[in-house]
Amino acid sequence: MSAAASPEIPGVGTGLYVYAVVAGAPADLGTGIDGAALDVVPAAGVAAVVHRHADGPYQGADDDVRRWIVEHSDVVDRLWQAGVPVLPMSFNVIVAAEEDGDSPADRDGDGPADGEGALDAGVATARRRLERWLGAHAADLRDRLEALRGRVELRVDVALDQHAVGQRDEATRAVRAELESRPPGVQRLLRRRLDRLERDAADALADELYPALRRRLAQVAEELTENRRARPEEGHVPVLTVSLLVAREAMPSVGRELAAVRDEQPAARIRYLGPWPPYSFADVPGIEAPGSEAPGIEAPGSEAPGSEAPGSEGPSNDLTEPSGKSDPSPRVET
Amino acid sequence: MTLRVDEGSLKNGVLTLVVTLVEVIQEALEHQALRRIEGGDLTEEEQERLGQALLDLDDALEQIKADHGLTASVADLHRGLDDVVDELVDKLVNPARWAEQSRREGP
Repeated sequence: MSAAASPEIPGVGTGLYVYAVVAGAPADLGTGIDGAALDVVPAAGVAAVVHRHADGPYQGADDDVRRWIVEHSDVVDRLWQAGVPVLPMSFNVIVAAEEDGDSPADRDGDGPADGEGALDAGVATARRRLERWLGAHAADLRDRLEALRGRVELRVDVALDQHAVGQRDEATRAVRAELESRPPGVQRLLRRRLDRLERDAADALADELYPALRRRLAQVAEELTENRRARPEEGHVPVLTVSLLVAREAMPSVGRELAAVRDEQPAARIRYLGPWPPYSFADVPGIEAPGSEAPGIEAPGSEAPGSEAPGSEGPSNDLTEPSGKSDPSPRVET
Repeated sequence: MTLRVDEGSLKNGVLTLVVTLVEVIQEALEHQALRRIEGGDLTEEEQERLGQALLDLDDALEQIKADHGLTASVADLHRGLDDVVDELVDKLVNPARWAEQSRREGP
């Protein structure tokens, strides 16, 4: 990962850290990562929410990265809570200053700018670059923002409790019955066998359930995307992990569908999280992150921890409401 | 960045690695034992001896982990190894997805 910082070029290493693209921003933006003052860069009817960023991409200890990601996601969340359609950016999208010597500081003819002057000049070129990017993609961005208006992201995670599946499996029940009567050493081996049988039975059932379950969830959502499989809990076999894009008013229908799934399938363990800003649905086809075609833009940080949401919730019993208001981390590609 | 190694953490690191590897080997042993049992190759007495040996090993490993405060670090490393193996198996089972991924990530 190149931080693109060579100290002798004025303005390099300064730029704009982008949180989100929005359709109109509220007056009070609050602060961003590490208390940074937030600013809005408008262009062609859309706008980017940014802060002036003087260094390269954020990287550091896992705890720091986690805090930065939460602060990033707080900004996105505030915008979204204010009812502004928002396309969240991944963590660590930074529009760097241009390095082509075309900055106002150079044209002033005062030689290389320094200190605050260099920072301002760098920010000014980064701003122009961001405006160009917004302008070039304005139509697509506006369409996507409009499609996300009033929509929320819900995360649904369905797994099977392998013990519960095993209760109803003939071979598993036989081993369990045999276990009782055997000496401890043999029990040790049989317990392992039992575990494997339960897991196999649950795996088979998961494969069987997956297509219909995916179809049902797709029917109650406008869009559905599969998430990378999270590490399942001990004793659980994953069936599917998806994010759903639904209109806020349509959330109850997702809850009803999940309640029905739980009633039909007693071994199912369902996690239902959200509502969140539509992190998983922010991609606009054919558009890369701002300026990613040019050098000096950092891709989402590879040092960041996995994209799992902090504060995972247990299986919820009441599925009419998603549990957990904890923010998902902004999408981090590792 | 200077790499600083203090003797205590080095010892714990090595011990963590050793204990984790023993656990992995134990799992492989269990796997073999189960195949033998399912194949009917082992007498009742042999099964019990084998199972008892695994139980003793369980106890010994738990004791070492408790004595040196390694329970969490062994669990972490073990999970990490499992993930590596899962990913490897996944690549072997789904070569198409693997190819797509390496194309996306570039050389």
